[in-house]
Amino acid sequence: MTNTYKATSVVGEHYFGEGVTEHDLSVVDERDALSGGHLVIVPRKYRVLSDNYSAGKQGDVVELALPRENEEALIQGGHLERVDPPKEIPAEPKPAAKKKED
Amino acid sequence: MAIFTLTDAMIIINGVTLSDHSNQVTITDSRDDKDVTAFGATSKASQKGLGDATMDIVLFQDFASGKTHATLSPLISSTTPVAVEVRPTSAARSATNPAALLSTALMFDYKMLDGSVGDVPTTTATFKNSGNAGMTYPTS
Repeated sequence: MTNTYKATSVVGEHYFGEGVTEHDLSVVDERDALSGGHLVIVPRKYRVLSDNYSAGKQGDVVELALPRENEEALIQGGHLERVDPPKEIPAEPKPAAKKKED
Repeated sequence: MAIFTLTDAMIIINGVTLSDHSNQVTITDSRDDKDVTAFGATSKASQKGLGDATMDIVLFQDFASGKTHATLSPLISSTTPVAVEVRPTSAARSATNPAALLSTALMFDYKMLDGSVGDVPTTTATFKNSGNAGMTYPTS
């Protein structure tokens, strides 16, 4: 599963791109980049599904910056689900109007 | 807080409150005992070595979503630290209700089932510190 990151060093920008980017990093790669100060996790929205998660009440939408294994544990545990914005689907081009024949 | 009976301990694992499924917790903050006794000594001498911090939490097993097994089982294969906090009572942290906090804990032991015939099945989870922070006792 991909996560959203922001590069915070020149090395980070070189390897991961400038600004906010989406990557499917391994656990080790993510940990190295975070602890090395090259990336930060960009918070994303989650819906709280359980009644015993401290970040919010059941049904709340909360913003969290979770490392991938912690996110997986909480999703697998039935505590959270991602609330990703709906993907933008480009509108289908309208058929050109027929010319009126004289 | 005077001497009290432990009836309302707060247990939060990876942000998930599991107090209502636990009936036993052991918090251990220790230092290695290093013997520095030299020739000529008449008594043993010890120095403190590296610190260690462990939390053993006994929970009633529950396979429902969001409960014991669903919360703990992903952590045994995970190598990313989580925070584990225990408080004497469910009240907010304070000087008289200090938390025991492993801010970077890894789960090293997960006994999915532990019990005999007729028992209520319990499970024991053991967390150890994975960084230099060790155990801390925040009051706010």
